[in-house]
Amino acid sequence: MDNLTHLQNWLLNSIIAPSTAQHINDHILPSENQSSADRLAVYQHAYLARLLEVLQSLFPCTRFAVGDELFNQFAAGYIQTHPPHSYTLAHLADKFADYLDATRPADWGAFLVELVRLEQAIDRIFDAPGPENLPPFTLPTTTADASLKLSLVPGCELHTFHYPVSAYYTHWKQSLATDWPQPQDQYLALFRRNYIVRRYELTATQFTLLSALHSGAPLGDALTIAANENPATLETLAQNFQSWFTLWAAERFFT
Amino acid sequence: MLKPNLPSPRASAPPREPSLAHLGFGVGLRSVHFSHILQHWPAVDWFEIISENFIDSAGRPRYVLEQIAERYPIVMHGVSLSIGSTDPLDFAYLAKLKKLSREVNARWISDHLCWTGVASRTSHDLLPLPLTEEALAHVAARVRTVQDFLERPLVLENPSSYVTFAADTMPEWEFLSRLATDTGCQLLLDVNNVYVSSRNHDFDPHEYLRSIPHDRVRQFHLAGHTDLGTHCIDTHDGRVVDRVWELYREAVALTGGASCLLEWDAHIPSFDEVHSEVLRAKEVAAGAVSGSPTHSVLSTQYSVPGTSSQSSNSPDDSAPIPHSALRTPHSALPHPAHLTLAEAE
Repeated sequence: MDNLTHLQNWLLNSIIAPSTAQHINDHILPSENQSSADRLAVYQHAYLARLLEVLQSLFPCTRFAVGDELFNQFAAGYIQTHPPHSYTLAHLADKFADYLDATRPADWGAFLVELVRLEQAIDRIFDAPGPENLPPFTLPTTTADASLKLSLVPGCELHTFHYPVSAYYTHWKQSLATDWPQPQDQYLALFRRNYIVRRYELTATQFTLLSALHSGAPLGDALTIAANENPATLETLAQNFQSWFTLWAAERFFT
Repeated sequence: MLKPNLPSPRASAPPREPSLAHLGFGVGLRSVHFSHILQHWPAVDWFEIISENFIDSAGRPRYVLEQIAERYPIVMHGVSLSIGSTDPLDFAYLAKLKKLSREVNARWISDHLCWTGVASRTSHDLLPLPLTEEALAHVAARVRTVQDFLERPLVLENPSSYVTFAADTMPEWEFLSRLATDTGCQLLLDVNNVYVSSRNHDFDPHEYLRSIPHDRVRQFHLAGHTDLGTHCIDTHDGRVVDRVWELYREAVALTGGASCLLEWDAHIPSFDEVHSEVLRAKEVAAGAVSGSPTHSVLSTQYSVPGTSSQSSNSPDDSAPIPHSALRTPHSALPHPAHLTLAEAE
């Protein structure tokens, strides 16, 4: 198998890093109409084009935000730095946000990186195990039970951003021209219902409360954590948490 | 030369298998057609899925597939088995294939005679094997292992390819024939790929069709391609060209017919348009079996490859080569933007 292994490593290296391809004529025969190098170039070009297309498809909003040319530059650099390892293209972009964060101009801020993370989350939740086949959830008649434990449905994710990326995403979906936003904290619950991914904006207090519940804290402890981390909203929390739970239960946050 | 840790060659003894039924004329299931299919339940004989788009799915793609599988026969067609790679077989991937095949009652599981990566890296492309004794022994051993694991014969497709190797010692049809005879695997004869490769490698496609073991052909693939003059690319982005229809008719006559599937993966038109192309295949096959001409289907005479100006999917000489023509299909992105964006609120 030595010859086969050697040839496969040579060909894959020549495809992934075309500038390193050597001894092409030793391995690949010319055809009547193409040289050996031209024939190899079909695979070299297809490799980059295919993976670029996948990244473009995964991050349409980010691509819009940064423009095609810059997006393709980042994407090509990412593909070169992180060639795919998985049998599925669904994992191609696993390190894209980190790569973008490490290579972006300093004055860009983290907006694009967060937008990438939002699009990745939507894509992940879209095809992850979800709540569709769960039995209906009924909120207990009293949510004042401090020992009450509530679990978020499968596929529900809580995210905090330092830029209003969800609002930007909405504007983009509505084909509204918009500039990059200024920093502003944004808290989101991302979840799926009837196979549709939904974005639900939260306040900081709501985010803390749901995060505590998600980590396994009983309701009483979760309320305490939320109050301690957001003392300015203590009164709001006390007045509204029951109605919040009613709304969240209607949205099917819980199982 | 086989390594000691590989299974030894043995007499052809294919594992037990489900029904060998001729499924008729099918369509490749693509997400852009999900809504149409669920609304209209079109009169299609069967659907072929890209295995990798569903083996990890727990969302809408899987939900749609389950509904379709209740009503139509399903065949699983993969792009990531990498049967020719010198990397170890991925048994976790194989286990997912096996699980899904049971859940959707897949009639058979196919992939390509190719490799996709090595040294734990993948190209996500269907890369050609050197056609050597060493490669044949290597692939045969892996086919046996896969068939034992899946408990059914593997169906392998002849890929379209764009290079040939200095190391080659046999033509592709001999490689495939010996592989099928040695392992009991079956063949997915992609007629468009035969044509594309014949143009790229200057061989006679008729000799290819005549030389493969006809009794091992389980399925046909048809697709469009792009003719760039110096070579052809298997783009799956248009109608089947007349030369491929002619080859298909010849293949049906030689084999007696088999399940046939049309692939359309780029610039995908409406479902009805794709289906109409499938029905052309049915008409051509009927003509091949009866021996009657198919003038209503074929618009031009067949000619020796490379000598005709026929160009169903060819860019004209003055136009720049379209970007899409420079890539091969088979991207298996499980949930492309058109699908997830339609869902995100």
